[in-house]
Amino acid sequence: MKDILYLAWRYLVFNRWKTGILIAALTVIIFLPLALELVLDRSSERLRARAADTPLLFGAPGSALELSLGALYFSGESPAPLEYAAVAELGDTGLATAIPLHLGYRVGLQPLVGTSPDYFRFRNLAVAAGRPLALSGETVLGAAAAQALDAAPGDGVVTAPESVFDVTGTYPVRLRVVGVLAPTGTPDDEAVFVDVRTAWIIGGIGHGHENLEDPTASGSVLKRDDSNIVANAALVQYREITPENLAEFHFHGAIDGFPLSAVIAVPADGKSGVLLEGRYQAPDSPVRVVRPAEVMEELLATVFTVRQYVLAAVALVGAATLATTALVFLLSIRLRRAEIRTMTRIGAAPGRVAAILGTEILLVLAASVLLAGLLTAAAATWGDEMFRWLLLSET
Amino acid sequence: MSLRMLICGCASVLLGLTGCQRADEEAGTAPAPPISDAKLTVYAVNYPLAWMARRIGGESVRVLLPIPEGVDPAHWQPSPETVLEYQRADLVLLNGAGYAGWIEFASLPPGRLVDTARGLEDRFVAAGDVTHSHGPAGEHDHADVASHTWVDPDLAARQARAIAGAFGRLRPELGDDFRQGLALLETDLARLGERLAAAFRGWPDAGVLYSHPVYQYLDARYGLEGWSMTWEPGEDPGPAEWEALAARIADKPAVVMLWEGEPLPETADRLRRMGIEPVVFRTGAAAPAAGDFLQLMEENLARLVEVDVARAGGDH
Amino acid sequence: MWLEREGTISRSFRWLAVVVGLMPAAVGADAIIRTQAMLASTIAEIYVEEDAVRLDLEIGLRDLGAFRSLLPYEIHRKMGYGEDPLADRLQRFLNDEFRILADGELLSGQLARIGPAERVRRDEITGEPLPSDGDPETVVNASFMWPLATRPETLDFRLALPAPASVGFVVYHGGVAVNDFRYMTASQVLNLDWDDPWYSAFDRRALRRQYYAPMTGFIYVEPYEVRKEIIVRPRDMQRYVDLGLAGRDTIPVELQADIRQKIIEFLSGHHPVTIDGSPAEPAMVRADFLERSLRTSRVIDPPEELDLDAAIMGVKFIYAHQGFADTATMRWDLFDDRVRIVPVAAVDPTGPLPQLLEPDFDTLEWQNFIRIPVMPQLADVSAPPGFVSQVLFYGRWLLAIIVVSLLWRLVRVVRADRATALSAGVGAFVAIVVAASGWWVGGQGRLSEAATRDVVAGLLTNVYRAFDFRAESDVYDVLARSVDGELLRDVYLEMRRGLVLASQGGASARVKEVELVELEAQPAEEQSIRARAAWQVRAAVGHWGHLHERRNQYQADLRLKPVDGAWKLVAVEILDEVRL
Repeated sequence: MKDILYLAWRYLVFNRWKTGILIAALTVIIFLPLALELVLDRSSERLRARAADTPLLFGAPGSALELSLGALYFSGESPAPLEYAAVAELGDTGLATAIPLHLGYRVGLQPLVGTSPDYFRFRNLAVAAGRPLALSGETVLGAAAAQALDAAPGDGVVTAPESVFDVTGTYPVRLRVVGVLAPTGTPDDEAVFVDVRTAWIIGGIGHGHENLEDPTASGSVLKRDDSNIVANAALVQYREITPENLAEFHFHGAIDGFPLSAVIAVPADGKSGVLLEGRYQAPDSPVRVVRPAEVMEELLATVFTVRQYVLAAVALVGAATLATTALVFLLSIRLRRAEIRTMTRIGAAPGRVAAILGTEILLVLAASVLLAGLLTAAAATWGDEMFRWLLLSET
Repeated sequence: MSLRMLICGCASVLLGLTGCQRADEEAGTAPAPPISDAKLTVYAVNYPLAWMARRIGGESVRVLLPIPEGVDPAHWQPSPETVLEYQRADLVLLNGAGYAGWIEFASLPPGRLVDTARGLEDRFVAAGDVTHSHGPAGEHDHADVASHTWVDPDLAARQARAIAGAFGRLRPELGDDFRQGLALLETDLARLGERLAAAFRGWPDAGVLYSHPVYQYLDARYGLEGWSMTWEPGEDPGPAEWEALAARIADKPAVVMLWEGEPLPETADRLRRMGIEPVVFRTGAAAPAAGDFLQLMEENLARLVEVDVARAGGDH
Repeated sequence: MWLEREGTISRSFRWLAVVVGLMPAAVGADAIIRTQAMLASTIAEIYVEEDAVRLDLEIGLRDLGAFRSLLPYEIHRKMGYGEDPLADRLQRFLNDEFRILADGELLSGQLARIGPAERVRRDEITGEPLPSDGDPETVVNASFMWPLATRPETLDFRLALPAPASVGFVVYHGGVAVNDFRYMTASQVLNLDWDDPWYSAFDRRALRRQYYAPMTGFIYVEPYEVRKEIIVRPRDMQRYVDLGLAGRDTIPVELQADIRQKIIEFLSGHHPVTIDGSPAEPAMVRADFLERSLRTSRVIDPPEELDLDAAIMGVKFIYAHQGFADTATMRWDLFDDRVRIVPVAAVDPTGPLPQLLEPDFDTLEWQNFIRIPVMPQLADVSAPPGFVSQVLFYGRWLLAIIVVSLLWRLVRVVRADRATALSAGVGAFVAIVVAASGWWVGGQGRLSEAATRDVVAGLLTNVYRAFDFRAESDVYDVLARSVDGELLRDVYLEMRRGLVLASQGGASARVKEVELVELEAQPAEEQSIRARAAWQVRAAVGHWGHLHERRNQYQADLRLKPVDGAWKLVAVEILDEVRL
């Protein structure tokens, strides 16, 4: 047996290019469908789990997919805004806990998520360093976000400007990092969390500035009467909320009208969830309710449909590759007639020759399978990240 | 096996199976969930709310008001650690009407906040503060309503109802207890309201002043038609303020001035020389050193009835 | 064909959406006086306008003799009526046979056109024109006009034809029908209200329009609900609240939402209702523009521009109530010069009780004298077989064999030793009892065909019964008794959507009866049953003074499964739906 292996091995090594190409081709054909199945199954499992963990989403009328992707994965276009009054309205039903979400801003490349303390309890997010959010102007970073921003409790991070061309737009705000969350393997790791009020301040709905009634602020006063003081353009607005200037911050307008991207509704039980959905069935309702699990199933069904086509294509290509490989072997045998005759003449039995040729094929196959296995293992480790990136960045 | 044993065995099997079937039919009934016997942890933003919560909740609630002694709850700024305590509460009782500005910038779970003045917006009174404006939005108020709503016993009762309702939603099995506590509290507040009405009889005609703009709801409820200065009990108002006061009483005389705390003796004397009797009427925003809210109001009432407004104007 | 997984719904739940649309009124809360005047041989449609009175005559061939004055000369002569010239005959017709007197003065009229035409097919209840049925009758159409120099206060229509004729007529003033189709007599005096043509009316009460009152009210008393329905004219409401209609002839679409809201706000402070002696506050209020005819009343949807004089609005106040009310009252508090009498009706499951309210008698009262059960009754559905029954369904044969073997052994024992006869007899008795019991218990392990029918019928009935409840929690709980899993959520939401549509359209049905027509069932996995069923649903709805009934038949594939000791529907696939 050893001599057969040796001869087969030596032949393959001598013809390394041919061997390498054959192994590569077979590896790809074996690896592709395996990796596709593995990555899709694992990624879809995670996506489903995230969606299944989120019972109901409330948002403005529009794309359910956009709402779900934004609220669950903080990706894609920020959904159309709905009013903060929806939070109180949901709470008043007594059927669910309402968790506001404000999306759309960034710190560096990390998504900034404005929410309430209930979100951390809902997602079982524990603080690994520092403490939770307490005041506006503070931020708690996801584990990956902290690494990406190289920030720790006590540091500061600055929100990304919305546009370099809009000189009248909101200015970046410096946030104080008060905590870093433990890693969870979910999109929460990438997020920069602030209280929803901080998100409004970043959006310019709230701001802080010097007290215009203070005599030292006279330089910022345009005019004043008994009931109103008008400020001029020299008025400086604070870009960081600190315990010292917190009292000077304020909102303009009623909070009920302030914008949110979505509201997560956590029903008290299954019945409460259905009753809650039932209250928002009117076609002209200003708020729509979405079941993320259903939305993700539809999305994944589309993905899996595409997968079927891809697998079919891969199968066709695989068949062609196998046929080509077989052709290569057959041609190789023909080309090696003289070699085979030599082996026979020097005493190799026909069976032995066949064994050598067969062992060559087996070795190529074995190498391909081994390589495909290694690649599949790599896909198992990093594939779902890649899939999520591919899926979520394109939507 | 003997025949007897076989027969007995068949009978036993049948009886056992019959019993199994009955149990099988009853198997669908799920056990009732246990009733929670944990106390509700309730945080408040001022003393009157905390007091009302204790009156309503009794032993079923644990009410906390972590405001340091001597600090005005309206202007208190809690530390982040204290805010985190509020976050962990089952309920946070807010006064509403813009009271306790720190709420606006604290990270608190909206589902556990109880705005006790919600639905009472039509009863809100303008604060009369100076607004400011800038930018294209124009004029806007930041503190456009008065916030000391509980000073009107009727509004306090309405706020108490909101508290009882919130308690009842979290602990429906204790609803009767909460309703009973609310009923007793409402009775006390109604009686307080009547006694205040009697005490304030004749005051509108005599003319009323307030040292600080915290009595708007008292004024509205009892039609006192008074007006406010912005004086502090422990400070001398200053010449400009005395002049402003003189100009005002020349225009509209007044014979009493309500104070949140004891004014300086010289301030009191000077007021009396101007024909204005200073009367301490504590609003009870912060916890009293002794007693409770009702006792504090009793003390206020005692001071009110001592003032004879019909004669007070003629004493200078 | 068969269901593959639980919760499958291949079509929308039309089988639940028994929102009743237009149907012939089975019962009217108002007693409708119907004549056949719209089917008369001759139809006269009279239009009173600002500058003239116009008449469109549709003369049936049977009445040509009575209208001989209008016939062309040759036809008149050939029919043996003489050789009078047409011009003379026309004058005679306008001066003697069909006269219109304005405030007692004879109006001078003229013929506009005359000629043969197809008879307009008319609804036998409302008289409204219908599409041709392809078999038209030939008639003679004649149009006349009497110019008006001023606005008369009265118009007297006098008919004195040379021969008897059956003339059905309707008069329109400013586009508003003054009367319903009636037979014309020798004289009918119309009092004209030029300020508001709605109030134009004939002297004779018999010619009064069915819906003559500018305001009407209804109290509907049903299980879990009391409804107050008020019908008003926006033009009349303009007297009480500024709806922005001053100077307008029509109500444009863009104003309608605002008008609805203002009328709701105004009427919310009027016509107080008490239920069981206590003042009631509505849980929901809805207002819609209505089109009201003798046949039905319907919500005008999609919105369209409306004639101000003819527009009417229905406002519905829904009061939730626990159970069935014992008493209900509505006090009418909007009387004025125009509104002196208000037709009202109290409607309960036994029918309507109409009344007339006036300032001295202003309260509609209803009291429960009903003796038949009115509360929705849920059907009893037998429980699924228990585990033991299911085991014994198969095991009873084995049990029987064991018992027979035992008896055989007993016989041999007795033969061998007669002294054991007594104990053997006892043993045999016990064995037979065991066998019989086991056989009976095992028989419960599968539903018989009859039992399956009862279960399916009961489940379907109880699903429809959920409609009768109003509190959403009650609806859900009732549904949960009959439906499980994803299907429960889907059915509940579909029901809510149906209720939303119903509240927008003005009616939601109460299911009166569910009858299982056909059933083919067979056992399936996990102790479930697959069945193909056909059933009929009879539903009724009352609104705006009308009661409608509808009967639908459905066919569907169902799957039932035991859940928590009860049969529940877990999948439904609708195959067919027919309106009967």
